[in-house]
Amino acid sequence: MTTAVDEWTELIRRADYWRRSPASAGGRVGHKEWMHFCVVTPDLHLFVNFSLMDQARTGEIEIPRLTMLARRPGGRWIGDVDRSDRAHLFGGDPSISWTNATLSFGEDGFFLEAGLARAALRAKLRFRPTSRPALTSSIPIGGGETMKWLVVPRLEATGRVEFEGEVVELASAPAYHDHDWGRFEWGGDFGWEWAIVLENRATRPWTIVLQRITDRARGLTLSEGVLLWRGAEHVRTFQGSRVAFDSAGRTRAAGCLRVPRVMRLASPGSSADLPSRLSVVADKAGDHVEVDLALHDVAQIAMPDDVGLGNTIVSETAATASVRGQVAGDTIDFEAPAIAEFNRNAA
Amino acid sequence: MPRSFGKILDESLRHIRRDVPDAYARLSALLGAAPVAFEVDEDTGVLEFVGGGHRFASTGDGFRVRVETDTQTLVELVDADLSIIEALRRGRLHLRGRAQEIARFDDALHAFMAGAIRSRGTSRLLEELRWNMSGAEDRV
Repeated sequence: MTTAVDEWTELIRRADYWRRSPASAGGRVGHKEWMHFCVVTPDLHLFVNFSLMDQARTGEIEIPRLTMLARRPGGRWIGDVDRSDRAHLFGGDPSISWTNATLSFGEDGFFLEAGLARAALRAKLRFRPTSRPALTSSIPIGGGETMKWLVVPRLEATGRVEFEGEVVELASAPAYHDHDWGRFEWGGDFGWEWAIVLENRATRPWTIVLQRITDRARGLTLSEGVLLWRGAEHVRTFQGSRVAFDSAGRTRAAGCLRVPRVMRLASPGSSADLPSRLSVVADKAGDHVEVDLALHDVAQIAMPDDVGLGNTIVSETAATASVRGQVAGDTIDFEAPAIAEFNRNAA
Repeated sequence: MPRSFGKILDESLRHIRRDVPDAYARLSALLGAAPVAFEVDEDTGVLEFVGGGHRFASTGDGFRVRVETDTQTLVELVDADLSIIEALRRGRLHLRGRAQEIARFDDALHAFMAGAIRSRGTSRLLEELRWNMSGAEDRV
């Protein structure tokens, strides 16, 4: 008998494969692609990102990078970005590996084993999908470019994370995975705000994804939405004029962890243009939801812009979400740890 | 035999000139009239930009800024284990020159870094600096 997990596993196997750069087969340079995993618990925020990105300036294609960030209570962040010379891809599924980084996929879900060369952070985790994967339509990001996004909104992470000598054991911890790809330029006319809220309770927990893509000046919204899952089931998407983002306050970023570490020297500005609260209100056909994120502290991933000599900063913030509403016949009222991410120009 | 800092700097500038010409042009514009003397470990020289390119002189007195440091400090700066301000405070980095020339050098350092992080081969050169540093430790 085929179970829901079997079905999702087959969907992931068929849809969540590395698209690869067209340049690897003689096409255009400029492809960007990454597979992103997050674990969100009160004791640990973990980000592991496997990426393959072209660098059009030098003609390099599919540069493999492993980005890992982790946060313990009190705002202790560690992490780094390790670049490799070459990735081994196995074709037709999410598996990839290079030195100190392995991602494989099988009947038990994703298996990830990764560690950083110059930061005391290692993870050995299995991610078992507990929700149906979804492939979005192309997301416009300005300049006629689009990004594709495949999401497995909720998984259970089991295994261990080594954080500066401390071992954090995880058993069915709330986790999230997405896979993004497209041909666009860092520093292009776009920015984004994105957040994931993972309620942690035994039965039918809520998973909420917020996203807003704007032009670089943030005067024009290109797309925005609030997506809700109850347990494994996608129950509502709020979009467009039915969604209102608001922000207030300021999260201090001066002196925060910025990776790769060389970017602290190459991009020394504080890029402090981050709120301390991000609120989203959405309603549609009698359903409504309010998500209020209190942002605590931040670590940043810095990338050289593809055009010009500036830099792009992606800020990962640890947050606590307060969620209220009425959706699909259920009353929502809970608090949960969350992650909010901001893509901005470096200051 | 480890290569000197000057040789590694020369190779990194060649990478930047080829891969990131806008960064190299900015460096050239900033330092064209302001040669920089450096002393890193026991390697000394003067870097100047002339005629759209760069060259090194073993000595010279026409420099506007003088930089003194060591390989370990450079590696710690690149790894963000040390900030430029901390390095200056701790006496591990010395910058000598008029204030406006130091400010110009700071702009040039940012242009150099903008080129270095975009060019091929820079990470290998950083590993070479690390290797030089560990070699120095081994020799001690």
